[in-house]
Amino acid sequence: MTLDLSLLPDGGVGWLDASGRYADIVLSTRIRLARNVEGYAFTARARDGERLRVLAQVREAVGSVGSLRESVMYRLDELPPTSRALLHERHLVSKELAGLDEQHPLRTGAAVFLADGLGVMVNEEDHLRLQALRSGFALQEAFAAIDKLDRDLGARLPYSFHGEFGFLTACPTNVGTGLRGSVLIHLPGLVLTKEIGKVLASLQQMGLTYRGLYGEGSEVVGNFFQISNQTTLGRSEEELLDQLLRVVGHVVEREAEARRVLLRDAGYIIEDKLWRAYGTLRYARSLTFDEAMNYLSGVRLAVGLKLISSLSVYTLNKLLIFSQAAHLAFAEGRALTESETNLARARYVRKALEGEAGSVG
Amino acid sequence: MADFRATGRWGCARCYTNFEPGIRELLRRVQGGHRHVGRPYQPQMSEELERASVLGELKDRLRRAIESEQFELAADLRDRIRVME
Repeated sequence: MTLDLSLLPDGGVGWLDASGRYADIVLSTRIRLARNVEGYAFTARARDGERLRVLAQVREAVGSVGSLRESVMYRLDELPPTSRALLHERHLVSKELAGLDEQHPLRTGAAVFLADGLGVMVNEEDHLRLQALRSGFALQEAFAAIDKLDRDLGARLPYSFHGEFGFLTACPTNVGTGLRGSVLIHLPGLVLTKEIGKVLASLQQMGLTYRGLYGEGSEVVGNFFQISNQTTLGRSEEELLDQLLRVVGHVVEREAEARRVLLRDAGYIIEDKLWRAYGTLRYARSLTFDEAMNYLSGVRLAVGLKLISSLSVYTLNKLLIFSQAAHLAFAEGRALTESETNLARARYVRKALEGEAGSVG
Repeated sequence: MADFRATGRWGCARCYTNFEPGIRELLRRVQGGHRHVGRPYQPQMSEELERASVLGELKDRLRRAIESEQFELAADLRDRIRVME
């Protein structure tokens, strides 16, 4: 089975379109809910047959849920590694579901249903991981969508629920609401002004946490941070999201302020640094992933500061995702060695920037 | 419980009731509390389950009606069962 992405109306990357609020600072908002189906062992403990029955039960329920009626299902357990990695790079499935995590080999019955901005991962750490993805800073919109989906599915599938502990999950860090809201945010201003340490420390005091571009266990590269709630129990969904909304709103303001300070106090140094980043991306013949992320971070900041006016945030968002290894291999139609990947990445980035180079400068 | 210590993951939903006191303490440490105050959930009966349970009840009443020789009621119940089946 090969991956046919044309089945997804927006390739599953509508969240990259930079249409949301504060799109130059906040890339995307994601909310996920962890749920389990009553009557089965949790995924890691379940036998293959049980996981397949969970999938069959979910599939039947999905068929009668309005927001998923047009959804596309991909069986991860029937896809080759590059296709699974590609779905992961698009943030449509987790590393664990894609079987790319050394600790969690690919599971029989691992699948994902994808519709416009919505996804249901089946047989992840929990039987169900529902997720809503939106462009920019859009917690309320994402929650409205995921809450409706959750109620619709919960009326058709018996969820594991405990009167005192709430929605039951395999890991005690998800029990209760099962809700994790995360905002993918670009903070080069705070990094360059060295304010970032204080900001990150204050997040932890507020019950929030941060991770890299790909969530749990991923490194921070290119000044991209995912800020999310740390606890899921003892507060309602609205309270958890309100807290995240307030704190991230504050971080956005601090980032905007740091950018103003940079321009005011170090205008030409910053301008030079960012144009050098652009120059490297525009002309380099080989780029590693980390290099590309760091230079893209610079160019993204230059666009935010209006130093470069002809590049769109949408193009930069796409570059971030489409210049990753599995995307490059998919585009070339074959597996690539590391050095071939770096060459293909530089070629892809050059071409994308050439296409928009009209009035740069 | 040994499995949980090794993996940090519970095996199934029943673990939460089997190890309730220990879990309460664990959640207090990990989550700062143990009481869910978010959205409540009432597992809804699927149509099929609901139909099966109504049907079961009607058959029960039919048996009692026959035993107590309430034939008119029994005929009525039999009709209702036939429609449902």
